[in-house]
Amino acid sequence: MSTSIEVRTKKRIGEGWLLGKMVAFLAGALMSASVLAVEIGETAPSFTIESLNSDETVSLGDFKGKVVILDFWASWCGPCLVAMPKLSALSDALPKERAALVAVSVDTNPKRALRFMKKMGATYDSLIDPSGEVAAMYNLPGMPTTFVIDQDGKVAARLVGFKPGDEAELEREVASLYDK
Amino acid sequence: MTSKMKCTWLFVCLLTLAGCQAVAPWEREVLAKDEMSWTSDPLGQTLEQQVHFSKEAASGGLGSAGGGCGCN
Repeated sequence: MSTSIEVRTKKRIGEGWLLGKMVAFLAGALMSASVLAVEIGETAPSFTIESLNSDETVSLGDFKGKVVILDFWASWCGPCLVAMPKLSALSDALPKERAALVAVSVDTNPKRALRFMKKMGATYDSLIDPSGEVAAMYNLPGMPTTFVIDQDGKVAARLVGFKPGDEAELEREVASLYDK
Repeated sequence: MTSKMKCTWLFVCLLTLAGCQAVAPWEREVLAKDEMSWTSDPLGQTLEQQVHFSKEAASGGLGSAGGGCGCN
């Protein structure tokens, strides 16, 4: 009698253990999928990556005290074709002592990215993130994604995608942060 | 089927869910290639869709904007 109860209890414990394992597995899978994107007001994750145009490495921290337009782009991204000439004009118009445009290409082939920049006549330099490590840190919701980061390193605005006219919005956003 | 077997089958089914993985926007370089699109003749498909929409008086439901690159 007691043996039968013991067997049934053990069986129940075994089933509970299996069910617990399954729930843990499912929870882990869901948690790994729901890493949140960098939102407005959060501190922009710092990074140090190689420049596309030279052998230098550049950090986000190098621009501390300036308003930063951080633009993630790729040569295979359609709206980036539209964005690049507009961002070139915007970059030329920015007061260098107060703001900077930091472009990050997520192309896996740096040569292709460089060719694209030359073809589009980009007047600014870019960084290269071929492994997508920095893009993953920012968990980009789409391509391209542009962040406006204030002098304290906090995200002030985020623009997903690009359409003509967005450059004016970016310029307004940057200008509003100068006297912060 | 015993409950233990049911649990095992459920676990196996859950394991297969691990194969359902969304491709991050910055990892869609290969998907953005022309040869990865559903049609080999995008212009022809647009024309066909135009005819179809005109006949049916309805449009949409054939995919998302921006193609494979996930661009907005």
